[in-house]
Parts: sequence; C-alpha cells; structure tokens
Amino acid sequence: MGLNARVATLPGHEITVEEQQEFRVDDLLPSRVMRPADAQDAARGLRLCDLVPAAVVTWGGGTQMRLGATPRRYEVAFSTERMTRLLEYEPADLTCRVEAGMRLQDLQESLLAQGQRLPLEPPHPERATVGGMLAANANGLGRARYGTVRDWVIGIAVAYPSGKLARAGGKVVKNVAGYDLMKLHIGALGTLGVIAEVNFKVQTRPQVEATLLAHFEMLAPAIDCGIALARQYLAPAAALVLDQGALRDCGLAADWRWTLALKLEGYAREVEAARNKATGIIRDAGGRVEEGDVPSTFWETARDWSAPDDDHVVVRAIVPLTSIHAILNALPPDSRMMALPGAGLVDARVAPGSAASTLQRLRTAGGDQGQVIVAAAPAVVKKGLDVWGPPPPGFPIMRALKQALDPNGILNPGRFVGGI
Amino acid sequence: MAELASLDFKRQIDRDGVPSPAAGIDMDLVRDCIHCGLCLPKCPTFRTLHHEGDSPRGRMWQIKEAALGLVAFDDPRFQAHIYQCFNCRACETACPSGVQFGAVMEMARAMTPPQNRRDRMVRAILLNGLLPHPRRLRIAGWLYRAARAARLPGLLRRSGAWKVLPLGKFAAFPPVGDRTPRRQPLPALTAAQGQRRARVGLLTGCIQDEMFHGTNRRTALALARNGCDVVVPEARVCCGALASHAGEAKTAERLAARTMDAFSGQQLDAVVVNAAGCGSNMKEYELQLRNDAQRREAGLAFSRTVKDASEFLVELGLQPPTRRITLRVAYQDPCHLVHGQKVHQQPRQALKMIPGLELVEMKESDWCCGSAGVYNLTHPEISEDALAWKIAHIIDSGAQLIASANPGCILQISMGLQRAGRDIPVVHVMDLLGWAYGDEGQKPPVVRRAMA
Amino acid sequence: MDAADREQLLARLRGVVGERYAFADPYEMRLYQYDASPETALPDIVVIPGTAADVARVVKICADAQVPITARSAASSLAGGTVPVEHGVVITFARMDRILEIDPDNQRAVVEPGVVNLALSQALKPLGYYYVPDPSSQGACTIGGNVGTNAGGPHTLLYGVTVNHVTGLELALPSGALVQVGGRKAAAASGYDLTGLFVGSEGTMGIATKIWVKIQPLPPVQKTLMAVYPDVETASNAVSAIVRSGILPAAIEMMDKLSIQAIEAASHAGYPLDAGAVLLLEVDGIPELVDELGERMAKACRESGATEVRVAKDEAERQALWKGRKGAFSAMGRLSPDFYVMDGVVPRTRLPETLAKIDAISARTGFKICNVFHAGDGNLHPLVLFDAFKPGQYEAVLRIGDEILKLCADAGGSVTGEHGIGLEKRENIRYVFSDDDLEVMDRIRRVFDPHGLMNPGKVFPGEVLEGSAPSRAPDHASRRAAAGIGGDDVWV
Ligand SMILES: Cc1cc2nc3c(=O)[nH]c(=O)nc-3n(C[C@H](O)[C@H](O)[C@H](O)COP(=O)(O)OP(=O)(O)OC[C@H]3O[C@@H](n4cnc5c(N)ncnc54)[C@H](O)[C@@H]3O)c2cc1C
Ligand code: SF4
Ligand code: SF4
Repeated sequence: MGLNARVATLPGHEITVEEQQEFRVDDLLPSRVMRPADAQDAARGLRLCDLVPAAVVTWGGGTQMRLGATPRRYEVAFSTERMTRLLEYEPADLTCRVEAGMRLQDLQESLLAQGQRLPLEPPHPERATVGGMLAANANGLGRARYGTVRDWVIGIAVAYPSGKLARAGGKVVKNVAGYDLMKLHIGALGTLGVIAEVNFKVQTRPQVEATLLAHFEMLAPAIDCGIALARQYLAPAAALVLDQGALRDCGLAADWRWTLALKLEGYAREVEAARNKATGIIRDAGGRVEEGDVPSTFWETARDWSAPDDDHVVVRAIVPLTSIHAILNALPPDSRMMALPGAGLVDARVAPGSAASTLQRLRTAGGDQGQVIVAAAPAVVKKGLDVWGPPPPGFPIMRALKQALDPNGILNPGRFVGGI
Repeated sequence: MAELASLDFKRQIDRDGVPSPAAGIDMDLVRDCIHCGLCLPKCPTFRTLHHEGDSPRGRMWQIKEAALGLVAFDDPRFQAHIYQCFNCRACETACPSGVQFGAVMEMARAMTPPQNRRDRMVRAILLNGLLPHPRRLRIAGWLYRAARAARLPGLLRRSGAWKVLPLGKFAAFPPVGDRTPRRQPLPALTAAQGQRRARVGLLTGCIQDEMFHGTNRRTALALARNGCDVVVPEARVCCGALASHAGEAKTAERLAARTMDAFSGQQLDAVVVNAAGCGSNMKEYELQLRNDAQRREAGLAFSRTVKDASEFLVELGLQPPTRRITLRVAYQDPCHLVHGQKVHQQPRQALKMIPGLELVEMKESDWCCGSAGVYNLTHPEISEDALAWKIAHIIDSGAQLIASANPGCILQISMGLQRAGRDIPVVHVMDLLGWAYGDEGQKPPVVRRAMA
Repeated sequence: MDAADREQLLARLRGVVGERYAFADPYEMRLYQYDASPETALPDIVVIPGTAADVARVVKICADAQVPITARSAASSLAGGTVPVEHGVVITFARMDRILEIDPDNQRAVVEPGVVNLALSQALKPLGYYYVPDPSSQGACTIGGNVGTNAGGPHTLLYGVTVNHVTGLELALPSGALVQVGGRKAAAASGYDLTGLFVGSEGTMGIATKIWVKIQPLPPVQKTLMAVYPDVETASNAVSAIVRSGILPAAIEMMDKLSIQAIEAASHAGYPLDAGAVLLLEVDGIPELVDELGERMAKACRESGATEVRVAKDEAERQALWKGRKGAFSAMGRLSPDFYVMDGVVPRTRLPETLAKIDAISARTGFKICNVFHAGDGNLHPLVLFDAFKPGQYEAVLRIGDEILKLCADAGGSVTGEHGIGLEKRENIRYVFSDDDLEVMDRIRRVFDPHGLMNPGKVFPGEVLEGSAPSRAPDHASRRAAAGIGGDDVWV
C-alpha cells in the first residue's frame, strides 16, 4: 500500500479543498485532517499516524504558522479545535487546567470573571490557542516583568507518537517530582509530541492600568531607559521601544523619532509611583514624556505586530542586554522595529529582498551568545533563508531527544532548528 | 588497629542493632548533629583541605561511628581528621542544632592518642612539661626576653635560620609587646580609682604573663580606672586551656582545680580574663570536671563568674578614655571569644570608645588565623594556609593596626604580617584601652606616632 | 566493585585529578555515605575535581568503565540524592567554588557548581544585587546542588524557584562531552530548552559544571510581619485568604507550636511560645509603597483571625525572625535525636484539611509531627520526630511518611515541592505519575545517560519500567549486559 493509501485509512473524512487551504503550511497542503476530541483521543490518533507513518502538523489557532522552516513533508493536519474545555479552575488556588485547543481569550475571560488573569499576552489571543502558545513559546510584551510561558505552566499532558499520553508537573505551584517536561515542550514547536492539556498558575488582575509614552531623538538613550526601567523595582508591565514606522503601524501618527511606550500596572498608588519614577528616568535620559491620548488599540496592535497575518518578514533577535545596541545598529534603514530592551529582544520587519543580508548582519552583531531567527515570513521568502540560524551548541542532544520521542520523525518534520 | 565496619552506617545498624556507645563520649551531644552541613562553609580546615573528613559534619560523623565502634579511636585516619581540627568552634556558631562541637571534640580527643610525632613532642614539652610549672615558665620567659634583648630575632631573620629551626618563625617575628624585661609581677591588689564599682580577680595566665606582661598591666589599669579593685592571686596559675583543647584531659582537670582554688575565698564579683582561650576554657569548667559530681557543681558556679575583659568592662559601663589614638584599627575576633564565648560586639564597643580611633571591619574577622592553641606547631601547613587568608584580608581592610584579644592570635598574626613585610602591629584591645587611659609602657612606633 | 577494578579505575582517575583528590580508602568512603537525609550507602571511590574539564574526563572514564557516578555538592539533600546506593564514584565540588563572573549589565553571574548559595548573594551585595532563590539551607547548599534539585525557598513564592533563575548550563555528560546549553541571554530563541529540562534532574542526566544565573537588584525595602494565630487551621485558612486578596507577598511561611518551641530554643528569634501557629510574611518594594502593602497585609491577617500582628521594627529584628525560620529544621535536633522531613505539596485551599489529617496520623501513631513550611506555595514540611536508635522506629516513620505523601497526592498535590525525589521518594513518585509518564521521562533520561550510570537508583522507582531498559541494573555485570539494549543509538 502506498503512503497516500495508508493516509487514507486514517480516521476522519475526505479532506475538502477549503480545509486544505485552511490548513495549508507555507506552500504545502495536507491530505487529511484529524480533530481529536480529547487528550486520550489525540494520543490514539497520533499512534495511527505513526503507524502509517504520516507527517503531522499540529494546528492550534494558526497564528504562528509562519514561524519555522517549511516542513519536509505534510500529510495530516492535526487540529486541536475540539479540545477547548476548561477542565479545572480553582480561583482560590490561582490554578487551572485547560485543554490545549482552548483559545487564549476564552481562558482569559473565564479568569476575568474571578478577577484573575494569565499575564501572558501572545499575539492574536482571539485565535491563538493555549497549546499553540506553548509550542511556539509565544510571549507577549510583558516578559521583562512577568516572565515567559515557561514561568506560568505548572503541568502538562502530551500525546506522543507511541500512543501514550504522558503527564509531567502537576496542579500545584511548586513541584519538583519527576522531570520538568513542560520546559522541553515549550518552544519545541510540536516536534516532540502534541500538547494536549496544560496546567497554569494565574494571578490576580491588577487594579489599575496606565500607559506612558515618551519620545527620544536618539535610539541609544531610549533603549537604555527601557533597560533601566525593567530593572526597577516598579518595572513596567511592558516597556517597548518603537521606531517611527512601527509607531504608525500601531495607529499613532506622531513624527517622533523613537518612542518608548510603557504599560504600568498595579494598584493605584503603585502605578502612580511607577509613573513618577519612570518620568524621572526618562527626563534624565533626555526623553520627552507625552501627555496626549493613546489610541485604545495601541497595545493590541503592538502585541500582534510581530506575528503578522500578511506577508511581512519579521526577524527576531534575542541577545544579552549588552548586545542590543549592536543589533539595532545592524538593522537596515528601511526596516521597522520594535524592541523590548529589558528582555534583550528586537523584532524587525524587513523588506523581503534584504531579509537574507539582514539576518547575516544581525547574527554577526548578536555574537555567539545571541540568537537571530525569522519569526514570520511567506513561503517564497523563507526558501532562501536560514530561518533558525546555526544549531545551538546542545544540538546533538536535541536531535537525540527528537529521535527518542518521535523515532519515525512524523511530527512537523524539518520545521525546527537544524532540520529537526 | 581495629576493623572498620563492613557495611554503611544504616545497614550496619539494621543488621547488628545499635552498639552501646563508648564510655567517655556523650552520645546525646553527638546525636545533636543532624548532618545538615550548614557548618561546612564556615570551617577553615574544610576550606583548605576540601575533604568531608575535615569538616565539622565529617568530624561529628566520625566521632559517632567511633563511639559506636564502627571505626576505631586509634585508627590513624580518625586521629588525623580529629587532630587536623583547629577547634576554633566556628561550626558551633554556624550550627542551628546547637551542637556543642568544642565539648564533643574535647571528649573525642581525650579518647584519642595524638597522631603525629610533632604533636606528641609538643604535648610532652609544652603542654605537660612547661605550662603547668610556674618555675619552668619563668625560666622560659626569662630566656625569651633575654633572646629578644640580644636581638636574636633579627639574627634569625637575616640568616634565614628561622625557616629551619623549630619555633623559628615565631622567634624571628615576635609580636611588638613590651620589650623591657618584666621586672616584677602585678601587685596582689590594684585599688580602684574613683568610686568603687566592683571587686574582680584577674587571671594573669601562663604564657600571657611571660610574653605580654604589659597587656596584663594595662588590663589592670583599665579595670582600676573603671572603679574595680583588681585582685591577682599570688599563686601563678595556668587555667589549663591549651591542655584541654588538645585533649590532655588529666592535666586540664588538675589545672582547672588549681585555678579555682587560687580565686576562691576572695569575695570577687567576677574573674576577669584577657586571653580568649583561657576565658572560654574557664567558662566551661563544668565540662572538664564532669567526672566528679561535686567539683562539677563548683565548676559551674565558678564559670558563671568568669568574664572576658571587654565583656566585663562594657557590661559594667566603660568610662571613656581621654587620650587620642588616631588610627584605623581592625578587630580580629579570637575564635574562643566569638565562637567559644559568643563575645562579638563588646571588644568593638570598647575600641570605639577610644577618641580618634576608627574601627574598620576586615573580611572574615571571625575566621581562625591558624594559631589555634598549639596547632600552628603541630600542623604548620594547614595553619599557614589559614594565616595566608587572614593576612590577605587584613591588607585589604586598609587597617593600620590590628586589635585582638588572645595571645596566640596576636603571636600568629604578628608573625604573618611581619613576614609579609607589613608594619601593621597586632596588639590587645586592652593594650589600646590602657594606652588611652595613660599607660606609659612601651608602644609600637605606629601607636606612638598616632598618639603624638 | 572488586579490588582490582577499583585500583585500576582509581589510577586512571588520579591521572586526571592527582593523588590527593581521588581516593578509595574504605575509611574515607565512610565520610561520603551520608547526606542530610537518614539514608546511607558507601561509594567505592571519591573524586574532588578542580575544573570542568576534569569533571568531564572523570565522567568519561567512569562511563567507559560502566561505573555509576553520583554528584555530591554540599550534601544537604534531604532526599538521599547524594547517597551512592549503587556505589561507584562520588564526585564532589568542594574545590569548584569560584564565582567566575559577575555581569551586572546583563544581570547575570556565572558560577561553578560548588559556589555556596549565600556566598553568591554576599558577593553580589556590594553591587546592589542578589540571587533570589534562598533555600533555608542557603548558608551551605550550593548552586550546583540547587540546580540538581531545582531548589526553592521562602522567597521563591513571588520570584520563582531555581529554574526561573538559571539561563544556561555547561554539562558534563557520560559521553565525555562538555556541552553548553543556554547561556547569558534571557530565553532560548531556538532549540529545545535543555537548561529548563536539566534543572531538577537530580544528577540523573549529567553534571552541571558551570551555571549562568540571573541576578536581581536588591529590594529597596523589605517589611516582615509576624501574625499570630490561635491554631493551625485558622492560620492555613488565612494563607488562602491573603493570597486571594491580591497582594502577593514575597514570602508566607508557617510555623506550628512545636516548631516555634524548637526555634525559640535554638535562636531566641522572638516568636511567641504560646501561639498556636505563626505566619511569617514579607513584602518588598520601594519605601513609599511598602508601608501601605504592609498595612494591607496586616489587615488581611487580622481579618483572617490573627490575634496579633507584629511588624519587625528594624533590620535586626527582621533578621532574627528569618534566622529562626531558616534554622528551623536543624533546631529540631533539640527536640529529638532524629527527624524525618517530608516535602509534600497541596493546593493552598487544601492546607487546613491536610494538616488536620497529619495531626490525626500523629495522634494515631504516637509520633510527634511538627510543621514548618512554605505556606504560600502549599509546600508542607511535616517533620516526624523519632529516635533512629530505637528498633523499628525508622520503619514506622517511613510508613508515616508514605501515608502523608499519599495524602498530599490525593489532595491534588505532589510528593515533593523542592527537596527532590532522590532515593527516599522514588517509590512515592508513583502516587503522582503513571508508568506511561515515567516511561517518557526515562526515555529522556536515556538520551543523556543511555546506560543508567548517572546517579542510578534516584528519581525513578526501583522496578523495571515497561518499555524501557531497566532503570537500575542489579549489579555491574548485568548493567554491562543491559547496556547492549540501552539505546546506544541515541548516545550523544
Ligand atoms: C536545614 C535544611 C534546610 C533546607 N531547606 C531547603 C529549602 O528551603 N528549599 C529547598 O529547596 N531545599 C532545602 N533543603 C534541601 C537542600 O538544601 C537542597 O536540596 C539543596 O538544593 C541541595 O544543595 P546541595 O549543594 O547540598 O546539593 P547536594 O545535596 O549535594 O545534591 C543534591 C542533588 O543534586 C545533585 N547534584 C549536586 N551537584 C550537582 C551538579 N553539579 N550537577 C548535577 N547534579 C548535581 C546530587 O546528585 C543530588 O541529587 C534544606 C536542607 C537542609 C538540611
Ligand atoms: S554540626 Fe550542626 S550545622 Fe554542622 S552538620 Fe551537624 S547539625 Fe548541621
Ligand atoms: S572547630 Fe573549626 S576547624 Fe574544627 S570542625 Fe569546627 S569549624 Fe572546622
């Protein structure tokens, strides 16, 4: 029996043309869609795919599908769209357990009803799923203050090609029993298993939120200011530096050269104190604090900016704080950029034509302690790019881990670092 | 040499039951240690040797196993680890379980013959041969002063002979004490000046009085200036500290009894001691006399009256001295004061009362300098390592003078600093107080200049 | 290991670290049989390497000879993590205690595994920084050991445990490789998060020879409150109430009556001896806010039944309270010759019922059990007091421990919050993980350590797991045989 015939024996119905388009990855189309009902179902389904063996791309909300290299093969779209339940939520314990296909916004709404939230704001929460957020390690603007996905996940259940559904971690906020497989799967882009359930810890929502914008004539002081603020005791929930182009993208048509945007959160006095502190630091650095109104959609647009739905090419550098200036200097003049100085992160939208040379320059500027990747790009552009850059030093271990958990290489083959 | 247990501790106990512990070791004290390891980073021998056996926890463990017969007291490896201990009791300060490390160590040493040849020699000559005998001590003291008067130290230094002679480094780099020969002992009574506030005995000690007679005189002066009648017993006594810390239990017991006798019947409010090692020993006579219920009681009562000189003066309420000593001074905590007696602040407070004196802190001021009783004689290499750390921290501190409160430390650090070519004198806290109260005895040039 | 094998291996190891730092004298082996747990087992050889390269060579030599390797730092493990149950070679880090770099600009420090946790914070203090995770054993335990167990501490409630503060590792693996994973930057941008995976693996994957940690500016002000409650139940209900109120303190610790007595005997910290339970809370931040936070917290305490709330009036009082708390375990040495400490976790809301059940166990068995623990995390530390020299007591205590951990697991919690599974709880791990869960973990372990040589006998249950090679070969001969099916294909 040929591969196609074997794929055809998988559960599910004949794929429609619309579905093929819906689940398209770069220029590849699947020949099957599987929509498991729950975690156990996912494990069984994956086992069947492994028997074929059929190449599987797991689908959450599809907001990070432009991330990563084009897969080598693609037969089955494995969608978590039916796995959307909030399984447990104990507000008094500030913990919850959800199915991986739950949309982030739905989760946040349930939490909000109890005055709580998950302080993670990856792009497009109205579509992004919990599982996708983990797999892509999609973090929001608040990472310098609230940390990243890995800091909020306390347990996980993963379906493996072996057909096993295995858990790690648990439902309590502190736990060192067994290996911390949450860390392994976060950011693995679904190459080691299908995340089926996630346990989070959550926090009480801040009482007050405020935005502070400041503009600078020079980039360096704006960045230094961002770093200094992130180190402060009243670190802003987000400290973002934008250039003029990015600022326009976020709906602010000011002609400020460089803008430092701060989101302040906490209880009233805290926000007040943070504002005073920040104002002082900004003035000392030569910045101008702007008192005007900020468009209500400013933070949402900024959040989604690095995961565009269209064909923009986004290059991302994550570097030690001291290398951030070198990265910014290496950006081409026609790019647009947004930086999270406190997290050592720079996102830039670059012209497709200059993507390759920009990558090269940034990689040199980032040094051996930094990483520069393509965070989003259309298939045609990706073809000519080294999306992940040279594999990191521990790469042989990574390959061996892949081999151990997905021996037939059915999960997202070729999409991750070093062809994993 | 007896056999080692064949199994690990737990399995051995599981198989054979708990053996009855050796007499002479108080198992309750030993089992206070829960082997948590919190003391390890504070142990100077562990820092130097990196070996668990040379850490407080390792030593407690070995003593436990020895007491239960799983290893032998006369096992050379046991002896090596036990005698490699400074007995500085830093671990005692660090230990949250309240392990009385010093006490346990003394019990263990009493059960354990000394290990190396050097150690046996030091014991025979110094601990049992010299210190308990006032006459011999006086002769030794005379010899010491004569040698200094004849400028022997300089000779030794120039010739390099100090490197090979026994005790050579101490002879070549002696502390800056009074260089004048000791003319006469302190009077039996130094009367209080001004209003009388207390009547105290003063231990003049064995080595202390021979090498640091001036310090004793200044201690008496400081006490008198603060309204104390100072009684010095006629009989010269050695309190037995060196013997007891080295595990010479019999000699120690004898000396303890003698010391108590010397101070008895004098209606004293306190017995003041200016040598930390002696003070900590005398505060623990109960332990040394534990084999005799009646004397143990007496020991306990006596120990309650013992006070370190700065401890006593600060508690009494020190009268500020008037003469200025414009110097940057760092204080080195003698182990037996800070760890043995938990006296940490009082010497500093006393120093701060001296006009002009600026007190700076050095790093690790509460770490052993390697003197450790007779340890620098029995284990020169490990001792030198501890001294090297100490000297480095002193130099970093920028101090112009070091104050301490124990003859052993003063000798050792002074030797180390001179050898490193530093003109940083090491003196007793009571020296500085005494000078500031107007003592006219000889002073190191640094102090002389600072008081000019 | 037979004598000839041992001699041969010893000679090779001495070739790496020198005579003095590799030894096999049976007397000296007795000094490496224990840690802070009640477990013991004798190693065959002890090595004290001085550099990462030496560690790598030592590991390779042992792996080639198929000899188990156990990493031992300060050996303050409360789970028998450093006890070499399968004998073999113990590697200690007493000589690897250098702080290699402090890089305030990137908010990082780079250290060797033997650096004592507190020593790092002390070195950072003059620069205005500190290293956040502060296990109560921080005066002794090392960053290497903390990485091994993913250690927590009172102040990790708000700021996260070790894994949240480690950004990179250099690892010595059984293959002989010395590999850097992660590094100075904030997060992994590409590749699997091997740093996160390794932290907490208790030496079963390899040995950390160099560690990149985050450093954080010292809080400008800290305010410590002591809230006195009539009983443990009211106090534990208060914990949930406080956390829910939205002010998340930097620390919430609970001590019951018995613990308070031990602590006061040990350190005169100033805890009231007649209290039924005490909560120790801390808030930090800038001066103008801390007072307000402190007041809100005090209010929350009173509303939740505190009979007295005392704010430490100065740094000395604050230090005394914390010193008392951090010395609590050791202080138990004053109540009883031995104690057995557990490390279960329950959801905060289940604290009252769990504590009540533990109380019932104590009443039923006659063993005293005290509780002093990280209440804000729901991380219990019941300490069972006993006398190991009385026949049968240790076994009885183990049964009590087992029962308590089951209780925690059934309440939706975990069998260990910070001390690790180690040797002691390797069977209890089944209360929280199925065979499938463990099989996946074992598979991952084998990627690093195909022959089960790294700290064997820890973390995983003793019995063979279905679908993988024995996690613990009974002796060296069969380990050699097992190695054949152990998965050489994934040797890295
Ligand atoms: C009084 C007391 C209080 C304590 N309080 C706390 C607390 O509040 N929070 C807490 O989390 N723990 C606590 N502990 C437990 C213990 O201190 C921690 O587990 C600590 O992390 C162990 O550090 P260590 O240096 O002693 O490591 P060790 O005990 O030597 O080793 C611990 C584990 O890590 C492994 N390991 C050691 N070094 C390395 C390395 N370089 N690479 C890989 N693996 C390695 C070992 O094999 C072992 O499995 C306490 C212990 C005591 C005795
Ligand atoms: S002596 Fe004290 S600090 Fe040291 S291991 Fe024993 S109990 Fe712990
Ligand atoms: S007395 Fe000093 S040298 Fe001896 S074990 Fe204790 S700390 Fe170490």
